[in-house]
Amino acid sequence: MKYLTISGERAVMSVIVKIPIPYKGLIRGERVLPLKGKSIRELIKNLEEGSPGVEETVFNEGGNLKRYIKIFVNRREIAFLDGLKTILKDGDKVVIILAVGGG
Amino acid sequence: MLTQRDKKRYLRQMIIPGWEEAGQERIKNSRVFIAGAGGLGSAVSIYLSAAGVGYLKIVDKDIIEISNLNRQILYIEEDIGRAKAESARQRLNDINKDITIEVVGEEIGEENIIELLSDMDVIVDCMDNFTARFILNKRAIEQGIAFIHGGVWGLGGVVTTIIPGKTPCLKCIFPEVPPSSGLFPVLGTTVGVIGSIQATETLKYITKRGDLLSNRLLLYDGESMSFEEVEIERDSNCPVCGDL
Repeated sequence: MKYLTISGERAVMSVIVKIPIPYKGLIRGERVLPLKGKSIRELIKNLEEGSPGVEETVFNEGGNLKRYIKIFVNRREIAFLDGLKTILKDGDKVVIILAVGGG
Repeated sequence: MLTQRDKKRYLRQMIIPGWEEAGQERIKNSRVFIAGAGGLGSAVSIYLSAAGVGYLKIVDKDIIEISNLNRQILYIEEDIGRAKAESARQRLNDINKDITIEVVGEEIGEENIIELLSDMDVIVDCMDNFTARFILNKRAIEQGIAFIHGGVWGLGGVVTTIIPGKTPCLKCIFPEVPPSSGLFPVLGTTVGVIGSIQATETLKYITKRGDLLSNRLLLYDGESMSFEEVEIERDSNCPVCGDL
């Protein structure tokens, strides 16, 4: 699969990242990103490059995923896959959410 | 038993294939707990009243403020300064005089939750904070009561149907929540969308039809007008439902 990146260049390997509800460093929207890294952890680092603050929002001081951040790959939560080591492949869809308390 | 008036009143939903008199009787005989009479609670209570749910219990301790009126469509300008519980009862009775509406002007807490939930078939989570949501979730699991969760932020929201022992509970889904940041943004139509889905799920659960929004979390993004669905799974170490 081939996707256009935000900058318009062609990327052979790409993943879709969707953030439906914004929170601090997590900016709402759907993006197609070249897959520079191979894991979710590396994807988060890639996101940080485009919008600083993502890592601080997502990771705790120990470098682990904060318990109120949930990441899904192709609809499955990474907690039930391989956590931050979950390997991404071309065309995967990543969704990042957290609890929203408004009513 | 449905009256002749019921059959006329609910005709348009009773002619939905598979709904019929049996489905409407289930709705008439059901007892639904609506936790919160704010934005979500407005949409949920209006639709469930109109649909003929026989007994609604609505709990909210707040007083109506002018800043509620952009989204809490149960209330009008004249209600400002009145208790939400009382205004809600009046408005819902105006919508449907054939159902029973009980209102409780209390804060939901550990000390009153058992009494509040006695004899309820379904809990609809229309709260605006996770402290009360987790109290409700725990009791729903202990009592085996279906729990329809909804939450909103701005133009977005999440919704899922929790069936104790069969689906993840709220604590499995969100073991922790982000620190409260005070006033949250919200558009009236967002609670309309999420509340309508919660009301639909409630009616499906009562009438035992369709596929419930179970083991799935539906994510709504009004900015891009798109929905996303992700799978949610039970946590075997969940402190609330791990032993079920």
